[in-house]
Amino acid sequence: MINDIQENTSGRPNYEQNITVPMETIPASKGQKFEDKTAVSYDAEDVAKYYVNRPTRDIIYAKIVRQESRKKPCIISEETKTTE
Amino acid sequence: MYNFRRDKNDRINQGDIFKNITHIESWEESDNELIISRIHYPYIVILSQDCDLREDASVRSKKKNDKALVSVLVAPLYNFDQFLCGEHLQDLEIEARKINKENKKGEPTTEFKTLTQNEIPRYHVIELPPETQLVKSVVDFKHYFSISIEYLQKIRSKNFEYPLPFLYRERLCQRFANYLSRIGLPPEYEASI
Repeated sequence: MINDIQENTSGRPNYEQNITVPMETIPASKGQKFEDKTAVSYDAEDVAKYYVNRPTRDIIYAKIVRQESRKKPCIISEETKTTE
Repeated sequence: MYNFRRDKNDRINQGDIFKNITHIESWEESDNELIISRIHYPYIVILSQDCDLREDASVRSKKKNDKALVSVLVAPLYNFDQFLCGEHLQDLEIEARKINKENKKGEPTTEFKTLTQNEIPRYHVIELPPETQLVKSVVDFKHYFSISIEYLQKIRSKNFEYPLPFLYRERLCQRFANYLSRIGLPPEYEASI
């Protein structure tokens, strides 16, 4: 059911679409009470706010320039690469 | 139902839930380059003792501050539904076991019931009131890690989400302590009993 969320290549949900999710995952803050267990269509952006919350990993590559006087590494540039 | 309110003190408290936390998983230095692997957790909960956190806050700015903490113990919160599907760690390329909600008769499975009743030592289910807008979540005690208290303090104003009410945070942390202090026996010993 979680796979119902359409994700683009960046891993974020596609906000253009409406998607269907199980009702028990809809936050009660919407002020709605549900009597049965059938799924309901919801706006993707709303769902994404609650749904896309898995841990992710990325890797930073940073060049080091050593400062002789302080012998302390100094990062002068960095580049982030998100793992796919 | 939770008696939900925010603490008025200006420090990190046990049971505080933070969002968007970056954890340095590992780093290495090679050929004048730093390679830093980071994990971004959507939500974590503070597990360190509250008296330690209070002492830290009171002495941190003082010269004599041997009670200041080096780091804080925290554990990630996972989306309950993703957890049941075993998909909560899929972005880290980790497969997890599925937990069936219902059996063939449509009744809740024993495992699902024990999970939601917080009777599986490794997991703790948290359900905050609707106004928090945090969906039902699971704390996995096995995934605890430490994080810099200075980092947490820096991001507190933006990333602090909710405090767990007193009784609930006590229960969470007692269960965590029990889990950490468990005594693992070798399989052959258990089989001989």
